[in-house]
Amino acid sequence: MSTEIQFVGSRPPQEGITPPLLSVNDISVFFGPVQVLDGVNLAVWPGERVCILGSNGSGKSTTLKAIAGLVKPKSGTVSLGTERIDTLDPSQVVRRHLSLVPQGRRVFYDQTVEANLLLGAHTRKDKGGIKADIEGVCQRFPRLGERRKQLAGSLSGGEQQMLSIGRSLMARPNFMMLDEPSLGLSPVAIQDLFRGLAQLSAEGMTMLVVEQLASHALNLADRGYVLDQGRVVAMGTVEELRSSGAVMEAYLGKASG
Amino acid sequence: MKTFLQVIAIGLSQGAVYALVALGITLIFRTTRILNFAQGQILMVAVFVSLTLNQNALKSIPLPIAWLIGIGVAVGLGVLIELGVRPTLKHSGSLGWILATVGMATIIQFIAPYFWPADDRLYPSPFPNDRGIPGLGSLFSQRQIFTIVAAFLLMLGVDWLYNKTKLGRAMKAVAIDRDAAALMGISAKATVRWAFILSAALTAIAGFLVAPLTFANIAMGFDLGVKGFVAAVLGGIDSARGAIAGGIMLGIFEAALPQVLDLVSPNLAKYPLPFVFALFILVLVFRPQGIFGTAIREAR
Repeated sequence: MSTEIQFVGSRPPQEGITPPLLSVNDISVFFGPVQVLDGVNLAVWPGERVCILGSNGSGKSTTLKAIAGLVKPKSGTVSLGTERIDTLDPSQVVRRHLSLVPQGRRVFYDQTVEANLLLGAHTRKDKGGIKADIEGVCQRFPRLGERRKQLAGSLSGGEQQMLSIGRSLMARPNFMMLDEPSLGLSPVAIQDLFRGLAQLSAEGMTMLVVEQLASHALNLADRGYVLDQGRVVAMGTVEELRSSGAVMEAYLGKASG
Repeated sequence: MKTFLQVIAIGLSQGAVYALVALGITLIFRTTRILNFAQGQILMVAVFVSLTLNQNALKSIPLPIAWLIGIGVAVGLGVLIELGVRPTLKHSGSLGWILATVGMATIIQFIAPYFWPADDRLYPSPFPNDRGIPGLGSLFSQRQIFTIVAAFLLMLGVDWLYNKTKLGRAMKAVAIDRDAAALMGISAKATVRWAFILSAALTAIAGFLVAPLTFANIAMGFDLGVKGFVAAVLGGIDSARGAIAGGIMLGIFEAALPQVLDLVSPNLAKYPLPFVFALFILVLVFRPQGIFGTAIREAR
């Protein structure tokens, strides 16, 4: 299979000027005999909001998992700054302030909200800072504050998503990846969620978001990549992607509105 | 009245030991959702290693040091078992761990007779001249009190570990979702290793505490392993307090049983074990999550 990009909008504006924070270089991932990623390239610069779009099974989640270290690419490299991270265990990647909020939220449902947040701070030793950050998360997501002593499994989907994000924040990331954060949430919860993400981004968080709801993702992001069958088939600013009827129709349904 | 108090004394001291073995089982279960069927054999080896070091014709090693070495050997075995089950932990639903742990138990049980004779042996106690507790007559022996107090301190320690420490939270997280735990920076490998190490050490100490009350015998591992498992399931295999309660209940039930059965028929009183298992089966049927446990929800 050849990697042909069918639609290229403008290249990232920082390209060639400043080094990217994250660069994914030509990675291929196999699950047994099945090739899921076929030479994916992408880069994210500090402070950017980048989205990855594409239909089911296009390899969006696998791309994030490969960056986080949960799956190992067969070829290609992933670098954070100047360091290669594709060989690291996921528990080491998070120590480099790169967090993944996994698909399906994956909260530890048999532990309390507070214990989940403490687990998020597993890599840290500064007790005072951890305490302050728990308060911070509870202020950011007041629903979590009200339910601190409740088991995570008893929360609603939207609250669990907040907890999953809050838990990731506890590691003090400067780069957050989110895998389908809106999946299974009510429309109101989705609005809350994207408001929260916009807030985080305004505070300087670099973000890489995988989303099926293209309209929400495009509202949040500056730039985007479109994946199809494990390959990057389009890239550009969100305006360019939106206005490219061919891209929207081929890969994203009629979600441009 | 005296009989009643004696039943309580024996029940508490035996029960405390069952509780410790049960805690060793729950430590591993809590982290991996598997059962280590070689738990009793680890206990037996720790008891006999320390016994051999302490009581031999060449050079007697002081009991505390013999204990430490016994714990060391137990921890070594625990790590060996952990290495054996590690490949099966990555695939949920794999039953390879049953083969690995039962296999290890069988191997140890078959090798043991080459080192140690199969008869009952006296095990040294820190209280060699035990005259009972003043004022309590011969009701509680010093070693019983020692066993009960030491066991309770260890239980408090495990409870603290579960509820107040990073490692305790990490253990639970690894059991529920290894990948999500890894995303938090928790190494599943290291956490599981710690569970096996602490479990083996705890089990070794349970052996040191029970052997002076009974005898040391290379078959003791099977008996205590099974009863520890029963205690863990009785109380709720996922919780420290449940395992403790289960152990104490089993100990008292077992101590009281012959007295009660004796009223029915002296012959029945000779065979208490079937009644222990009957209780076990009743609990499994009517309250499978254990008396104090909460039901474990299947992940998604």
